[in-house]
Amino acid sequence: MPLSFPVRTNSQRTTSSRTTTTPSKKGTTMSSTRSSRGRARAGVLASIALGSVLLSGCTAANADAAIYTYEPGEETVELEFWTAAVEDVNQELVDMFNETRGDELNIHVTANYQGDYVETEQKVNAAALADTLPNMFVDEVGMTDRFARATTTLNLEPYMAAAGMDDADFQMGETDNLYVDDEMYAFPHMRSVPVMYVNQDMMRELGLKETGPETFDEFEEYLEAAHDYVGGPAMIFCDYDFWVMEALFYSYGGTAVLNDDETASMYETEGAIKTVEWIADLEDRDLIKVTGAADVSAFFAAAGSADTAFTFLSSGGIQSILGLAAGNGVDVGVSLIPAGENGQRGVSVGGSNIYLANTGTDQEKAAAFEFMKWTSDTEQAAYSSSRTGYLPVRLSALETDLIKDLMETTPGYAVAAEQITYGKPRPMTKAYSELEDLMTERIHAIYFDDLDASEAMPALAEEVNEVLNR
Amino acid sequence: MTTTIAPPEPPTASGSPHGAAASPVPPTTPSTAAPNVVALLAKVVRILARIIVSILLVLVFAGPFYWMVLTAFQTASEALSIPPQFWVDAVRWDNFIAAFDRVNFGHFALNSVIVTGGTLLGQFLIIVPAAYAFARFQFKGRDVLFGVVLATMMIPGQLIFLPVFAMYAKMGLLNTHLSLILPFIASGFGIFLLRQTFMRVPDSLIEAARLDHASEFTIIRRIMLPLAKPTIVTIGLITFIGTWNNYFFPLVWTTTDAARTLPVAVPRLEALDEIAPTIVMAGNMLLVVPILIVFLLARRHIISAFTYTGVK
Repeated sequence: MPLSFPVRTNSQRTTSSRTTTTPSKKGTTMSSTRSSRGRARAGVLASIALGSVLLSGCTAANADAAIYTYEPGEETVELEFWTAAVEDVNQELVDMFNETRGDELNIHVTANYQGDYVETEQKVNAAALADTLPNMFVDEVGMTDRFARATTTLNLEPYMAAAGMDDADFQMGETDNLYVDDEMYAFPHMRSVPVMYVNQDMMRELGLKETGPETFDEFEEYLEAAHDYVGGPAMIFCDYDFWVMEALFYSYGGTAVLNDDETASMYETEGAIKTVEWIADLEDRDLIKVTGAADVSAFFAAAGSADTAFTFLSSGGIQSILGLAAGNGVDVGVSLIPAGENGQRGVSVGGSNIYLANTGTDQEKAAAFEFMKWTSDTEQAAYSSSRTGYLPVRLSALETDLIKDLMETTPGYAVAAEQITYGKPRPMTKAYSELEDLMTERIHAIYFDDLDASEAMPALAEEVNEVLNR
Repeated sequence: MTTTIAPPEPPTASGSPHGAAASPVPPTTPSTAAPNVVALLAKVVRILARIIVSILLVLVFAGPFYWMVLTAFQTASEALSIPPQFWVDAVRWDNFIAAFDRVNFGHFALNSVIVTGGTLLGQFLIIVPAAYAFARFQFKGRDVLFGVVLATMMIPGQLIFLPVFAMYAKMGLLNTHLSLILPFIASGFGIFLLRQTFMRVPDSLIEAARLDHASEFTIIRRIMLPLAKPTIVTIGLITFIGTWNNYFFPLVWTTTDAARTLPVAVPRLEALDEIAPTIVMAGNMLLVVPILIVFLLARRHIISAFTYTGVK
């Protein structure tokens, strides 16, 4: 099935966002009571002045362009690149760059792994204070806003303008997490979405569609059949990662976690309450088993097991889950998260971005942008995707032979690519890491302590609002 | 040589092997026998309860270790099988080989040895004279200073990591072994424990040494340290375990692999393309084995140290 992505082009972006990098022009005020001779002289002078202004404007523009354009020098420009997650693939990309494009441009990059996304964020913040930032770094998609507002990262628009590139090819699904005030502050690095892994062997045994349920009503019917088949819950729902819960709020409840400007929680809404009530009900009926972070190993073990019907998990785990299932002799496929009422769908787009750090000389910054540009280019985007299970970050990468072959041999990739068309942005407020822990804990208590969701969710909303407005 | 064991006499109707008439002991009446049986039962129950509690404690403490060793020798499908498999079909070293392939274990292990060794040596040089001064000298502000030393034990590491990081950046100490050694050599806990031990050394011993013109250094070396050996071994072991296992500081105070230690390397054994707790557990085993060896060698001293210092 051909995929179509809503493409946001530069022309659709606000005018203000396009003018911020234009050099400001100065004008001259003239009197209206001059004689004709005087007016003629004044006209000549004004022409000269205007010409000077325009020339100086052009010079300034050229000077600005020069700042944002990399020119190879005699000496090799040494850059530091901090990575988080997918360490092996990032190192491979860096090695490839150093041997090819980097060698041509006299740029050498050293990759240094810094831990998971949260650990990397802490280290970036510490490095910003200590003035030891790397030239570029990788971190989670939802951190764009906080890094930009702390002036830890740089606006990429001037560099893109100088390089003559636009962002159209990056518009693969939801991309709001790349922008701050309509300005691009990050390139996408890896992209993933929650998908539904389906035990196709079990579906065939039960005489059900092997691609699994398409709606949540069907999902319940399938769970009941699977329960009777295995004699117990045939799905583990693990809320160790709140990202999956966000997808259920969108798809089942038709609501986001926070309002649009991220100043208030949406947990008081009917959609949020009914989502949690629904999960609690499935657990009460023994159709699913809810576990937390402590049981994450059991959750992953179950994902490839013959007794598990469905698993909601990242598309980034395609290779590992399908590999695990194959090891157990189970045929597992990938399907979309079921649709809610009126066919509503929605999943938060996760993964990582690559950021240009606000450090170093102009030449180092421009060199770092060269690396970012190369890393996120079509061929490299396709390569990263094929090595990891994450989705490619460029539309053009979908047209490469590598990705076409991959989607043919592993159809789950195509499903993930379709799922991302229903993508929503992850909240970008700097309090969200803290809120994720709070929300996971409180919602977990609703399932395990049999709390009334209609009372517990509004109470949680108040707590979330307190944190947001602190 | 053969030994003949006489068969026991068959019991009589009274239950005694000798019979009521032949026995010099008067027959036990039901009123006195009942308390004896109750006491015996109570004793059996107590022993059984102790055994059950001991088994439970062993399960709680040794269970994770068993699981780690088991997983390290299993295949991924065995480790993730449902129901869980509590044994291995065959001992496999593949996971250990894979662990060495994925990260440069030798490099990280060497860093661990340097950082742990450096911290132990530095601590010994700092805490012994400090504890001796606090225990044996009267000087102005001694108690306040000792209180400050104790207070350092109450500051969480997360609170100091940022200013220390900034300080290291200015001093050019980032990504050096020294950066992971310096903050831990003045151990408040070590000074406290050793001071308690030094205070228990009789004054007469020190007076006698001074009468023999022994210097303070000689007193420390010839009298204090030999008497405080169990405490020093205990502090050394606690420091060894704490430094060897430390994950947080070697992660946050380094930005390259130059000085990073083993605990930072182990989580990196997780690969993207497979779920392999087996390789991570193999890495954990390599991390834990030195601690177990040192602990087994030093455990006798730990018990005596805590008994001697009165810390319970």
